[in-house]
Amino acid sequence: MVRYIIKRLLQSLLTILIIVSVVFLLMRMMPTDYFFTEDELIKLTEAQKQSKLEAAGLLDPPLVQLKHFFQNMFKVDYIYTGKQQALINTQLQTGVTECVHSAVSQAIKASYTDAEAAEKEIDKINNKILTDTIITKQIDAALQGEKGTDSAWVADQLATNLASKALGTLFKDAKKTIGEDQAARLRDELDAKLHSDMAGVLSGVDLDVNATGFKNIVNHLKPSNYNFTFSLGESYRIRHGISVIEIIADKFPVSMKIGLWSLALALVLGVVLGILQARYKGGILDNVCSGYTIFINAVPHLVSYTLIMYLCAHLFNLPMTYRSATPVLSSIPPILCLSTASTANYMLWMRRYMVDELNKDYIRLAQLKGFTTTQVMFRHVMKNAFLPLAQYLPYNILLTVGGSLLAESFFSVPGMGPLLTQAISRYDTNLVQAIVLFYATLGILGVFIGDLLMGILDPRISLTKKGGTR
Amino acid sequence: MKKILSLVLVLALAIGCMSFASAEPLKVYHDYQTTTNEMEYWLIQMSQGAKELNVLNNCLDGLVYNDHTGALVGLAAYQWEHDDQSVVWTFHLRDNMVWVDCNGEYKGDVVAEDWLTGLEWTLNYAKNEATNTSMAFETLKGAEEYYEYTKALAETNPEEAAALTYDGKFSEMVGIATPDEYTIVYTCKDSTPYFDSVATYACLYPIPQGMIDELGIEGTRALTPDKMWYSGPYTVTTYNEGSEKILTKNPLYWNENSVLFDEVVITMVESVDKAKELFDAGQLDRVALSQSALSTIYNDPTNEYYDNLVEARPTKYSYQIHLSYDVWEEDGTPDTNWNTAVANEAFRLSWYYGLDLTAYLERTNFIHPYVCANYGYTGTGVAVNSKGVDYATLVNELVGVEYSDSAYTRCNPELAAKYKAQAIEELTAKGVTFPIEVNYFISGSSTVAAETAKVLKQTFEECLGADYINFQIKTYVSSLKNEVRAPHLASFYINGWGADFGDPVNFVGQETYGEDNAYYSIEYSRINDATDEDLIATYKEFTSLVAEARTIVDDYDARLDAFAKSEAYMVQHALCIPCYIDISWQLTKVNDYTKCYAAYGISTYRYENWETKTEMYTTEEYEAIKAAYNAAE
Repeated sequence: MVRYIIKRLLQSLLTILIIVSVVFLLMRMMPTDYFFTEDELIKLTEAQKQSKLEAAGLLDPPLVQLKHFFQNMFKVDYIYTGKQQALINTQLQTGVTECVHSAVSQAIKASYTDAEAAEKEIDKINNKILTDTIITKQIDAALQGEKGTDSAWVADQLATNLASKALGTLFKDAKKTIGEDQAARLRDELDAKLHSDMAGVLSGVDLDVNATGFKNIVNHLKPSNYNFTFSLGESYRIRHGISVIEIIADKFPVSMKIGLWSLALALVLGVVLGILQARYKGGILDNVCSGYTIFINAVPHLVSYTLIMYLCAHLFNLPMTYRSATPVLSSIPPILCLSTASTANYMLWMRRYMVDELNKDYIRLAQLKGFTTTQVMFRHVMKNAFLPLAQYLPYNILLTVGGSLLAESFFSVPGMGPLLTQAISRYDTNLVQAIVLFYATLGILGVFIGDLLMGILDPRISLTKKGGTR
Repeated sequence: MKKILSLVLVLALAIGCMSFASAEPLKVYHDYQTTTNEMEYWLIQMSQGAKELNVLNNCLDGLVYNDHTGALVGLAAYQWEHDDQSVVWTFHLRDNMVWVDCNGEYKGDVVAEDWLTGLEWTLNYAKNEATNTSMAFETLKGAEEYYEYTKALAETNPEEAAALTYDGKFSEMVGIATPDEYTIVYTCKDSTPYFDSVATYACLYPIPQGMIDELGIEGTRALTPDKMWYSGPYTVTTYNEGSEKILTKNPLYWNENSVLFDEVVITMVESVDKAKELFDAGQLDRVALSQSALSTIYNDPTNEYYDNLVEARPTKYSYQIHLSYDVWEEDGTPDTNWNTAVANEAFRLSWYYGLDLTAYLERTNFIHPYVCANYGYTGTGVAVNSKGVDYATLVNELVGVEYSDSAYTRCNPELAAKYKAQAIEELTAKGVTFPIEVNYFISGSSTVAAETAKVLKQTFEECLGADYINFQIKTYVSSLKNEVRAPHLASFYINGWGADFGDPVNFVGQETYGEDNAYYSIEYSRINDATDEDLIATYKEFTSLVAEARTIVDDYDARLDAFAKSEAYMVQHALCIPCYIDISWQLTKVNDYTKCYAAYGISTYRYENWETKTEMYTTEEYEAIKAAYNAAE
């Protein structure tokens, strides 16, 4: 059994990877114009559009993009203890702060004849740039590039970033105090001094680390642990810059709640009514339920949804759209709508399987042996009739909690339902990728769990023996 | 007599307002948007579309905005002035504005530095990816150069480019300075007499440095309403993408006299029809009416809404028939028959004078179609001369077509017949065969567009004759640009343009010959690819008139006159044909004449100082309000 499960899981993983890769490549075949809104098409020049596409990484060849996608999916971060981090922070903060302070003081004192003005200027710059936050950010920024492990390169970046910050403030004021030429000279001197001093500060540091931040900078402090992160990138268009996992995590609970409630309602009503239909076959209840099943399947969902929405709004004063202020009340109409079709289907199949079973010889035997109708119905008929439904139950549960495009759009439910179509139409490739991965996983898991369930419930089925494998 | 009439109407408005004022105003306003208009960005510098700006202009205060008459009034800036050449513009900020978080908690003071940070962000390629740069490039000194500098830097070192702030290169290069905490000085490239209207737009909005420090560059780019800092009248307290937004009154908003709702609930709906259903159930306070809904109500005096039909104010968009001068067949070969015909001025003028668009206008405004007639290119309210005359009126005087409430006055069957005969003669000589196939494209999934196209086809065939043109309605699947515009398939398009700032160059500049920034010339008319010498000469003359107008910077009235001359030239030669303006009907509890009315800029949907009632306005009440407003104006 364990081998079977592992084999199926590996097959599923491979299938999901193939699906994701195919969708990825298909999305890249769409014209990139879909990436832009009509306003952007009007207001951006061709060069600017190309720049935006370049920034989003959409101008690389599709296979390179696919490689980046899988590379970025898994990341490793080093984890240090609090003590290790404190040590690294102190070392770098102190070194860099002293370096900047000394460079600024020296350059200003050399250029200003008025000592008081020079001190004032030094204080101002110190207050402006020598704060922990700014130093931390500049160190972080310096370590972000691919060459973040090269200490000379990091020193240069750090000096440039800090010089840019210091020089901007200084140059503006210095122009007024000491004139433009002198200020320009001061700027060049400070720039050079910062670069040379920064190289000195970092010269003894071996930067054998990844480029996620200065917290990982000194290699003699071995990380205490590693942190693997899974990322599917960020949304470009639906919610710009937000992680696609965060978007799905926001929406999935809403769809899940509505889906589970509607499924529970449909299951209870469908199974109970289906049993009663079979029990009283040809009676009034059977005819009414059959009429309902035909009506629901014959009428387009949009019409039945409109009818339910009107009845809920006008008879019970329920909101016609989802409202975060009244989530329970405003979820009732979509739950009812989603359960109407499922109820009809469960009812139909339950009745059919029950009637099939009722006509079998073993039932007649049971009746001849003196079992009551209730005993026959619940002990034998229902158990066997429920088996075919059980196989698809996990699949249905997983797909239902994945959201309904029609019902969620109709009732403005902030769920998963309309997300995929919106993401495709707005060329939000990362989000499309994530949703496809999500639905593929749900679908494959649903089929897999259904098979396992059948193996457990039906003793005739063996999942592992030769010839009995499903 | 006019004065007495005006006085009577103003009195009527005052009495009317008193009676309306007795009605309870709405505390919570329920509005809607269609789901296709869901926001994508929350950082205003990254937002270019109305779908974002309609919300964000309630969250942030720019320097100036348009009031209910369309006039520019101070917002963050209580006063502003410019030098004699209109090159240096100085804005003086209020000192009582604050930044708050989404819960209305104090975060910091609003100071001039925030505008430096905002503009640096806009122009920094590594931060804003070129979005919202066009107006800054056109007007501000050094803006384009700084953008290019950051772009070059970002190619070698994106982190360093993203780490740049207004201190440094930006201050050296770009024409913006802050002499003190509450003064901003912009220096334009050239004389820009309309620069204050540019200041209404998103590119010149502030960003607090504190917010960037708190969220980081990436976090600011991926701004969400719960992390955003607000300076406007509302904060966004609930946001469910694709479902609803709730805007809550900012408790620390600087303007205590401003009339605000306690909450504005914006529900996202899948269609306008769904919005009508919500309105019927009392869950919305306003709904625009589709033509079918309008005619159902209008034709049934017993309908519950019969007395509540209210005409909306015109939108800022001016719609035109954009003729295409380089059309291809589906196999990519030139459609010589059409291209030759459309290059012929008599052919174009036969359309200009021959088309009676009444039935088409009824698709927008079933009750008063002629108020939607449009005989000029630039919309109203874009610019006004020193005598208070609207620029659109100046154009109209030169074009010589008078507006009427009861007729489509541009249509002149006699002139149309004359030009048609002339066109047939001239074009036959050039080998053109009749009827000329005219291809008009609509979205295949839109039933409304299909019905409107049928009306248009009927109008064309009745007015011009099926022997003259063969009107074909064709469909595209999802992208007009990719499926129709890129392969040059349509003979003409009907499209609307709304101004970004208050100068006619923003309209006529889109149609000039041989200029890269002329959007309609590049994307729609394709005039730069046309080969007919007469047509090109006409376009060049129009372009030179526009260029001449652009150079007039010291006399604003003369500038407007010169632009009006160029626009009239374009219209009279039917280089493109004015079509309609959008004035629809609605059911509402809001007095539209108290809303901001922006012919440009972003303040149309600012929920401030709106007069509302708990009951719907009646047609009679609205007509009184409109008459009084027009008289007062």
